Amino acid sequence: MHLGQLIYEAKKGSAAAQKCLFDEMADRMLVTCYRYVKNQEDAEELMLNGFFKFFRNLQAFTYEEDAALFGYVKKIMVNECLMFLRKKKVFTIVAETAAADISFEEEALNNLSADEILNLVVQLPVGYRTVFNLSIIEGYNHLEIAALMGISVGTSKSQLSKARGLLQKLITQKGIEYARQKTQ
Amino acid sequence: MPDKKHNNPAGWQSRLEQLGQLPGEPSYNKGAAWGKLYAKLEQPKRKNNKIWLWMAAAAIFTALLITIPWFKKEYNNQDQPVAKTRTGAEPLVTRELAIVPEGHPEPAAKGINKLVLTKRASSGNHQASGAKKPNTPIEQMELTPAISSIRITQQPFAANDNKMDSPLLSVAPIARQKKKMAVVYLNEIEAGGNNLITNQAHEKPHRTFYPNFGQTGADDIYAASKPERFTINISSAN
Repeated sequence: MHLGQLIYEAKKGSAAAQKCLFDEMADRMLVTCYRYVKNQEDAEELMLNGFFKFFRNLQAFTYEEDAALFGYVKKIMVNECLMFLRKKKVFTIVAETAAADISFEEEALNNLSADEILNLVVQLPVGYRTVFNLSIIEGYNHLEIAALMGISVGTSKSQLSKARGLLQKLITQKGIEYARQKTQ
Repeated sequence: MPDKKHNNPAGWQSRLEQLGQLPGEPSYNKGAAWGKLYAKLEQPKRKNNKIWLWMAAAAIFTALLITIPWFKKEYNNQDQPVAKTRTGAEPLVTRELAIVPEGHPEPAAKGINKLVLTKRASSGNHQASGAKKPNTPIEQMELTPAISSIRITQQPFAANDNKMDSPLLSVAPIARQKKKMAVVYLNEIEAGGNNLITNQAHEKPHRTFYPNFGQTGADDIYAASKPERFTINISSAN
């Protein structure tokens, strides 16, 4: 069934339509939550909380297109994750001077699969990871990230640069391993 | 824009979006997760209790608005005497409070509360050095000798006497009576009233010697007025 139709039915209170919507979006939202919290149980809990909020306030949502629906639900999930991390007080980031921009090697990135990218991202420390997710994956600018995380813009930039540097190192290691495997 | 330059390197976003399940993690039970979510959704919505909180706050505020002027009035009326009723079963209590100056050698009698008044001399060193003043209050009192004891008496109270409705706690200062000194005139002494004790009786007799000279007229007059005064004329034996 079309997602717009499902939303219409769900708004009327249909549990079947709600279940269909959940089945359609749950996997992707679980991956989104996992990128932030690095723990499957916590990610599941946060995903369920996010869906609960989505269904509770479904009357306020107006369906336009599938991408907008996914973006809306994803935003709810990201906010849930940030609230969870804020409660755990993991955003004790010391203000640092902005590091130099580090560019990725395109060739190394092309060789990485989605699973490997996800594994690399979750290896980052929580501060780096959150800034990286918000900036690179979700597309927020530093001003928005600073407001969401309660840090300064400079700190956000610095965290992103350091996250990039660490990822570059990890990717290089992966590339070396990949090259070794290929030669063997 | 510098942020745009490095955003989404090599299509990371699109690649991660396509990821359907968690790599290396056991797949979760979607049905069980939906069961949990559905049970949560089926629970009735919690009513908004904010309206009750606001109403309670308004009630408290109103009560305060009403009671504050009343308390203010009560506070202003505290200077006026307030009559209090007392039950008749309470026994009569009489206490004597003696105010004794500091350093008084005589101890307070048994059963009498002793209140020692301390007079502390203010030292100028505190102000000069800028040191803090002591926390204890300095009480400077001059004890009037006439009022050296205060008797606090609680008057008897009849149990069934409904007419008596005052607290009847009175503080009666007992003044020590001054010792009256008898007024003695000079003429009374001349008349032989020596039974009166005067200060003059304790004085040493004043004697004036005038060797080889006679009494002056003034001395005669003075000697006549003082019976104990002797005037000795010493004259040569020759």
